[in-house]
This record gives sequence, structure tokens and C-alpha cells, in this order.
Amino acid sequence: MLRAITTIQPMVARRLGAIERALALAPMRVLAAAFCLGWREESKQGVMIFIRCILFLAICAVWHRIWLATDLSNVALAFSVSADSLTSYLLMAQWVVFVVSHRYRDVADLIQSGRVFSLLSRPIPYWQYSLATTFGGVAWMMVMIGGTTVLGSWWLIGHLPAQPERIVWALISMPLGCMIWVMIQMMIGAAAAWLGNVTPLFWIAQKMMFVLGGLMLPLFFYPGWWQSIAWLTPFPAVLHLVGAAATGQTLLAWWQILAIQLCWLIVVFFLMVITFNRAEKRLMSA
Amino acid sequence: MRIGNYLYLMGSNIASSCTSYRRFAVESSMMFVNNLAFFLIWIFFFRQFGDLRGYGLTDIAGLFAMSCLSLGFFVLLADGVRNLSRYIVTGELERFLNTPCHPIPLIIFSGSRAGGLGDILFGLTAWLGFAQGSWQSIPWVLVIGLLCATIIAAAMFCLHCLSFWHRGVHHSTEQVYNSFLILSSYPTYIYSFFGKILLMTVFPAGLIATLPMAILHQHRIWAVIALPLAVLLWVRLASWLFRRGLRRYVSGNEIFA
Repeated sequence: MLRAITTIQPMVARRLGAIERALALAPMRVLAAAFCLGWREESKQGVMIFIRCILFLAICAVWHRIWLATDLSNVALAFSVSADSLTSYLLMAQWVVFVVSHRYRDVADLIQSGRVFSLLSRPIPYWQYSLATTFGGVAWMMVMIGGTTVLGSWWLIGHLPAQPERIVWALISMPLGCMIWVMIQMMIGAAAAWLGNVTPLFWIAQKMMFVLGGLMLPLFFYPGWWQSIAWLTPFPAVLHLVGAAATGQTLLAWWQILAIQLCWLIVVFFLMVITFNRAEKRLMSA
Repeated sequence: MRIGNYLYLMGSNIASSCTSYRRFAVESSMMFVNNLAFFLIWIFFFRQFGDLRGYGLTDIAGLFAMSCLSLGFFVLLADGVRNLSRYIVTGELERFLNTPCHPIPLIIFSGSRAGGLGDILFGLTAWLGFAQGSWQSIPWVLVIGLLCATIIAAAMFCLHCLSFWHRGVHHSTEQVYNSFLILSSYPTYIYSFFGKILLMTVFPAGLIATLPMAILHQHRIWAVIALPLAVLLWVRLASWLFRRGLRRYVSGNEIFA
């Protein structure tokens, strides 16, 4: 009897260990499934993605022509700028904007329609699930718009948007920019718990990002006082640093760019978690 | 339907978006700020570079003002058009077909957004403040803005009607709508010949800003004739496409309707 127990004990312990490990991994599997779901959902919207790619190319082509028509000889900067380099910058920055698009809507729609309550009762926190799904969709768009960026770049300027020695930093900086903007949008979406309709809030945040992040017009063309204000916001980390990392139109070293983006990513992440927790409390009490 | 009925529909449509005055005011003012933020890019651009092959802030402000005004009128008065593809796909179109009135005005005036007022106010501010427009020109600006809004409404109506044939269009209509404002506020000389043709015909973003500027700033006679003609053509096309599409409409009995 004793012998039987001593042989069964390690087996039970092994099984229990396996169950514990499986339970510990379960949330990760759920999040991975949510990521795949986001990826799949996004990949189904063929016509929409096609139109988005055409619009992306149209805007970049228009601004390329504007830069070609602009007299850049009088610009006094510590680094050289040309119509081609400014187009490269725009391609990279627009890549972020088009990839993330209007992600706040998914969260805002769920809250406004009340469907969020079915997600709040799940063991995985709603913000984690929502973030994983959004990142899945963003990852798909990153590939699609990335292809369009390369095509557009060859069409407009005849080479890749990033300088060869900067491609790695561009490919690290770009997803970081996307993640910051996604989290800001998630916060805007969660604000629907208080405001109801958050679309006007998004419009302002988006346009602030265009102006303070330096979308069409890189930040170094803005007056000094404006740049000082801009660097206090996360928007340059979303757009300007992505474009600058690719084209080298900055005095910052690669590690400084990375450090600024990571700092903002952490700040925005914590703000997003706080916003979601507050929104959840408000929804549950309502 | 008589003109009075149309006006009544229009009035009740706007009134439906004013149910909460606070929300109406907030949404309008936020749209105003949104446009101002976008326009700041051009202010800083011309501050840095002076001009763009003869185009100055005044010209861009004129284009921007006219596209804001047109889109503002469209969103405030005829935002129902933007729901048409959803009506078609989900079968909600039934409720417009089962009335004694013509369905097109009912669809057009079935929605209104307060943000449109913000667009209109910003358009007028940009016209007077940056485009050097005079107070005397305001009535003309408003009339032309309304005509351009009709073009936008008809063009968007045509786009949504494509849902009768291809349901996937439903997801991409907003993208096309957004591109109206973006592409209409750039000077036309930057577009290639093919681009100009496209913007004046199939994708009428050029009609809603460039043509009004040709009338208001350059006083071109051809533009005065072309604008009402374009309105007429687009309205006829929208009406024809809707009638053709209705023949294919079968979604009333669908399971998700």
C-alpha cells in the first residue's frame, strides 16, 4: 500500500504541476487567440484595405509634389533636407497613421452598445483582451501598409523610405510609435464610459497628433516655442521620431529615440490601464 | 413632394440632432477646433516657406474654407446618405420604401450631425479671416457651399448605392468620405493631368473647392456655368443608380434584417 502511494505521489505531483502550468499559460493562450482573431478580422476587409492603400499613396504623392514645388534652399538646419528625404519622412509617419486608423471605435462601440458587459465578466481583464485583438489587427495592417509604403517609395523617390543603415531602427521605431498611438486611442475609446460619444474627442486628439507630432510638416519646420510644447506630449514619439529614425533628419542618436519612445510607451500604458479600470468601475456601478 | 415638405423634413432632421443642446454645442465647437488644428499645418508651412509656386496662405485658406463649408452643409443637412449602404445591407431600407413619399429625400434627411455646424462656422471664419473674403461675398459663399454640398451628397449617394451590387462597399464608404476633405484642400496644380480629370469627374473632390474658388476669387464665367451643371449631372446619376439598384434589392427577408 505504502509502495503504491509512493509511486502515485510523484505522478500526481507531475499532473498537478502540468495543470498549474497550463492554468498559468491559459491567459497567454487566450490573448494569443485574441491576437489571431484581430489579425483574421482585419484580413477579411479586402476592399477597405485596398481603398486605404490607394488613399495612402494619393496623400504621399500629393505631398511629394508639394515638396518638389517648395523652395528648400533657404532652410537652415543642422542636417540636410530634400524633397525626397521629406517624402521618405512622410511615408514613414503616414504608415503609422494608416496602420492604426480609428481603433478607438471598437472600444467605444462596445461601451455605447452595452456589449462590453459580456466581456467584463470574463477571467481575462477586458483591456488585455481588447489590446490583444487590436494589436492583431494592427499587425496585419502593418504588413499591408508596409508593402504599400515600399511600393510608394519606389514609385515616388526610387528607393526605400529608410536609409539602408537605418532600416533596423526604422522597423523597431515604427511598431513602438503604433503601440503608443493604439494605447492613446484605447484611452479615448474607454472615455465613452463618461462621455458617450467620443468621436469629437478623437478628432481633436488626431489633429493634435498631426500638428504636434509633425505629420505632413516635420517638427523641425515649426517655430521653437511650438516644438517645446510638442516635446511635452507623446505625439512626437508616435510620428516625428519614426520618420526621423528612418531618414536621419534628427540630432538624436538611435538609442535616444528608442529611450524616448519606450518612456512614452510605459507612461501611456499605465494611463490606459488606469482609464480602463476607472471606466470598468463606472460601468459596473451604472 | 412639395418644397415645403422638403424644408420640413430638413428642419426636423436638424432638430433631431439638437435633442441635447449641450452635446450639440460641444460637438460643433470640437469640430471647429479640429479644423483649426488641421489648418495650423498650412499656417506654419507658409510661415516657413513663404509661398508655393504662387499659391499663398490666402489661396489655400479659400480652398479649405470652401471644402469645410460644403462638407459642413452636407453633414448637417444630409448625413443620412452616409447610412444608405448600411440600410441596404441590413434590410433597413424597407422602412423608406413603405411610405407614400419618395424614398430618396427620406433617406437623405434621415440623419444630421452637429459637427457640421462647426465645419460651417470654421469655413466662414477661414473665408473672412485668412482668405481675405468680404462680408458682401458671404451670401454667394453660402449658396455655392450648398451647391457643393449637393454634389458631395449625390456622389456619396452613388457610392453607397454600389452596395446594391457589392456588399463589401459598405465598409469602405467612410474612407472615401474622409478623402474628400483631404484631397479637396490642396492646390490643383500639384495634380497631374490625369489626377485633375479624376478630381473633376469620378471623384469630385476638385469640384467642391477648386470650382468655387474659380467663381469667387477668379470670377470665371465657365465655372459659374459648370457648377450647377455638375450638380444636375450628379443628382441625375444618383437618382438613376438608386432606381437601378432597387431592382436588385432583396434583403428585406434576410435572416439578419
